[in-house]
Amino acid sequence: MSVIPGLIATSPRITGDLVLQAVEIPPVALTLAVVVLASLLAAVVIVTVGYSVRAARRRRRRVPARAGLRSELLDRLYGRDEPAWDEWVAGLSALERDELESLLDVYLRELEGRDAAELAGLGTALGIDERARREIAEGDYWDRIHALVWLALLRDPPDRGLLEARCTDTPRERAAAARVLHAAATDDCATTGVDLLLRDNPSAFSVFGVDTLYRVAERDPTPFFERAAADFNDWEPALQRQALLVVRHLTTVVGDADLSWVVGALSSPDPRVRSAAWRALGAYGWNRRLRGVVDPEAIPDDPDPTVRASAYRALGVWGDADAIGAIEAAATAEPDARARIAAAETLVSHRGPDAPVPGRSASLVDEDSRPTADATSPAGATPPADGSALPADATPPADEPAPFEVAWAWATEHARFDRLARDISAERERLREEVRG
Amino acid sequence: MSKSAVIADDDETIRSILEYKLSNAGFDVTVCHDGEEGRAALDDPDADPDVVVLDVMMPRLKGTQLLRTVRRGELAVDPDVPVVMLTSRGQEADVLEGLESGADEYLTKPFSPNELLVRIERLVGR
Amino acid sequence: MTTLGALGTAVIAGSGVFIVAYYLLINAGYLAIHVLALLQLRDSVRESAWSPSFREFDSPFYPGVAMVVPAYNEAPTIVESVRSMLALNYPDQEIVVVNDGSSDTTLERLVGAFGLRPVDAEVPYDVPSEPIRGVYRSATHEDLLVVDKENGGKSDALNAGVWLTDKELFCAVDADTLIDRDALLDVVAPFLEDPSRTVASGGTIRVANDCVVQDGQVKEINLPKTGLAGVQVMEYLRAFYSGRLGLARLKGLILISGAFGVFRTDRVRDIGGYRHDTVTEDFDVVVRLHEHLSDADVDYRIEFVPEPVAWTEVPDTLRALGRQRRRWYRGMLETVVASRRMFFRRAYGRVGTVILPFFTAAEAIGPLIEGVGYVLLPIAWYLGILNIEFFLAFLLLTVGTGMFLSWFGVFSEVWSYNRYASPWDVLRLLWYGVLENFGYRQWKTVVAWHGLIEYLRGDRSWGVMERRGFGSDAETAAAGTDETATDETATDETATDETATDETATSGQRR
Repeated sequence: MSVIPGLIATSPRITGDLVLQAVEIPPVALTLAVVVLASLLAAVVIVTVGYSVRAARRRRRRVPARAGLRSELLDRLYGRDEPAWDEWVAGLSALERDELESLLDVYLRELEGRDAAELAGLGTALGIDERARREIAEGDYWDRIHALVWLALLRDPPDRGLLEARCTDTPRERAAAARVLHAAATDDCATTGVDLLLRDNPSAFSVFGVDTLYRVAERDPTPFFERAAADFNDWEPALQRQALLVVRHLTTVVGDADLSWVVGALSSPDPRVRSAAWRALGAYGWNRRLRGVVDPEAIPDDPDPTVRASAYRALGVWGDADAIGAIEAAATAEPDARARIAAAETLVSHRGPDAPVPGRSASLVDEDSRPTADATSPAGATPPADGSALPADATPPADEPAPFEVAWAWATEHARFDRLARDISAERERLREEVRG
Repeated sequence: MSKSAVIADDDETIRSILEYKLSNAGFDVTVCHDGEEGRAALDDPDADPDVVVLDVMMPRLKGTQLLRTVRRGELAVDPDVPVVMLTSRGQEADVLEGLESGADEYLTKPFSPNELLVRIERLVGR
Repeated sequence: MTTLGALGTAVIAGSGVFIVAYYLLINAGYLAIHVLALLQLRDSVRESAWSPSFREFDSPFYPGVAMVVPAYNEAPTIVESVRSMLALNYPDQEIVVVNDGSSDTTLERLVGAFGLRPVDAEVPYDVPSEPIRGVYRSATHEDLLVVDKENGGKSDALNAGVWLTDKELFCAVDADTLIDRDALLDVVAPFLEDPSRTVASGGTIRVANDCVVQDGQVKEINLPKTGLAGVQVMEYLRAFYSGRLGLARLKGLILISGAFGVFRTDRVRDIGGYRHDTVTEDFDVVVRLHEHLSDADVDYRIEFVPEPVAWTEVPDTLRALGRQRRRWYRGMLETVVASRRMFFRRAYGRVGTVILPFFTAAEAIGPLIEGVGYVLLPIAWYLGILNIEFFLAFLLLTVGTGMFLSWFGVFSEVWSYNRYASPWDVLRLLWYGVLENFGYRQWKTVVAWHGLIEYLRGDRSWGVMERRGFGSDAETAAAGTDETATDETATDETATDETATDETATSGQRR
């Protein structure tokens, strides 16, 4: 385009034409483009409408088939002594078998016990167990994880060698494999499961992975605790947090496993790990040994408010007098608003929403306190005869409620509403009056 | 004397299982698809079920809400009717909430229908 | 030919070349995004088909979600909306409705329907919003919290909700959006897959006009009867199934709908919540999340899940639609200008180097250029210098490719989730794809120019959409008396706020 200024001076008319010529689009290219576009458009329409028609047809056939299969399935499961799955499956069409498989999936997720075992027989009759093993041995990633889901539903653990060889590439496969073992309640579900999940120190689990870890550890906590005690410090913070989360839920099965790593996590440089450690410890209030090494007095020294909040909640779960006393001591001086609320909520859940504010109650019951006309009391105020009303005025500065009292009021109101919403007793009207506000 | 039951669950699979099992055990079953239908069934003056089986997570009205309404005597049905909660909400807080809301039994899914039946029979027999 | 004439010819011809070249590049980009979107869709379908045997309701590890619902003058629909949200299928959920100083009976209706009572305590911490007049809780539903505050606009209301919740995640929704019952479970999936890195996740918005709604759930999915709404269905399909999926595959998702997006509460608080001086706060918050997290060198993920759907009503008059689109355009310009330091900087990953610049070129500047093209054509023809090939090339690149990309969007939807079950509906959709490119897109270039002028003038208005309530005719009749199409300068919320900003964040608009 820089040619233009030069040309304008010389030949005005040519300029425009030159530009047009310079960028002339050959008609051939244009025709080709039109043809390509037209064919693409036609292709898209045909494929789209084709898909839609096919899907509609399939749906029309499947819906009635499903209803029939469902009633037959229930009939065979509950109405007869012997379900005779093989005989039934042999007489079904491919479409019906497919639909039955989908039904079986749904039922297996809802049932356990004897009925689930019977249904697993249907799975065998449909050949799902064999197909799943084949898919694990030969299929790609998606085939494998689908197969693992089926095996978990059928409570049918495959050969460990197959799992080792084919299901260890990704964290999800490993978790799914561990899940199969758990579902089948095999003897080695904890040892192999924990090994599969925690091998190579993964960076963090998905929720499915954490849940699987929890379930296998619930069956037999020893492998998990041994592994954690040994490797915890090598794990990334995200994994440490998840391990601590799992520990919190294993309180009833932990036995006398080594929990020193949990206490150690209280001093982790990462505040989220410290927070998780406190929440885990909350479930272990009964463990004297652990209580002995944890120092509630050190809570206010932690710089991070979320850690302090978790600590208050943990102490609340511990629930004994020492713990509650520690919360009270720290709460009134707590600088962070949300941590104050955590402390208040914890205390309210112990005392009930009608209890007086801690800190305040001390001065209320202290009948020896004599109000003195000092500089801080309002001008012209005469000390009343009894000591009850005045302590509030005597504490400086009394115009605004103390921050903790604000948090306390908030927590008690919410606790009252929770109580009201859940109540089914005859107290209902009284409670309703309480929150008339 | 026939026994009657009211069941409410939005999941067709569960409804089918419960209906089948309970009918086989001699119950006259009223099937509801969600919380509101359950509420209507329990607010029917002729309703006098021997047991109620509720799911928690249902559209329109949750099972716990419905249960609380029953226990508060806000519906025509007897406030003390035996209620079994059958739900996938299996965490401790949920179990406690269910029991505090007045459930007599709390079963989590996946469940054993035979166990459910035994528990129901025990409740009804009382 | 005079000098001026020659100059004029040169300018016009040059512009023509420039426009065609521009569109060639933009469309190449769009095509690439569409193809990537198809790949991502295939993976998404496979992903959603994998359903492990673990039960979400039984797992102590599921994150809690707070639904934050800003409400301004939503009296006709608010109770039904909240009811449907209370009935969503999710293990650990709370609803926070923020009444943004409504001038109608929004709060009264809520109080009546849910037995609300005021909480007799002040909020114990600072909330960065207009003053809160009161907080209400229900006597029967313990997971509902209603905040009544002074009017401050949608961002302000969202911030109030975000600060007042303790849940790990929050889901920003519009008060009139209908969320499918299992949608929350699905949209939270990225947080389950990668809990330590995911910070935001968005679902799909679809058009609810003429769908049958019962008890806050869409029971029957129909295509809208009017052409204008139908064309928007087409747009949204393309925006979500091509645009956002493609961007997600590129790890450059810069837009999550304000009508249905889930975020990590603490991360959003870290960036100061939603910004007040923007009319498309959803776009803005995601871009700022990218900026902030990249600056802090945090490994993060922002994902899009195509399957979960939230339904919303779209404007079906040109006037309301025009207002909405101008607002989106202005918001886009604001956010793009505000985030200009991210452009072409490798520190911000693909978002900075490729996505934002392309998005700006395609969505912000593109319609302006196209508009110029439509003006140039008749001028050129009048002057007799209209080159037929140019004209054809221009048409091919705008209307032709546009149609192809629109139809590609329909194909993606049919091939994956296939919610419009009847093949007749699919044919109608394809027809809307045609309509979209003959008339609608041209009109949108006018809207873009108008929006640009408004932006340059410093216009901050929102506009009100005349909305029909969902549900029965009785409600609709009531809605008539409550709805007010007031002046545009009030800081109120407009109903639909997805900022589907024409795809890709828009996906392949034709262009």
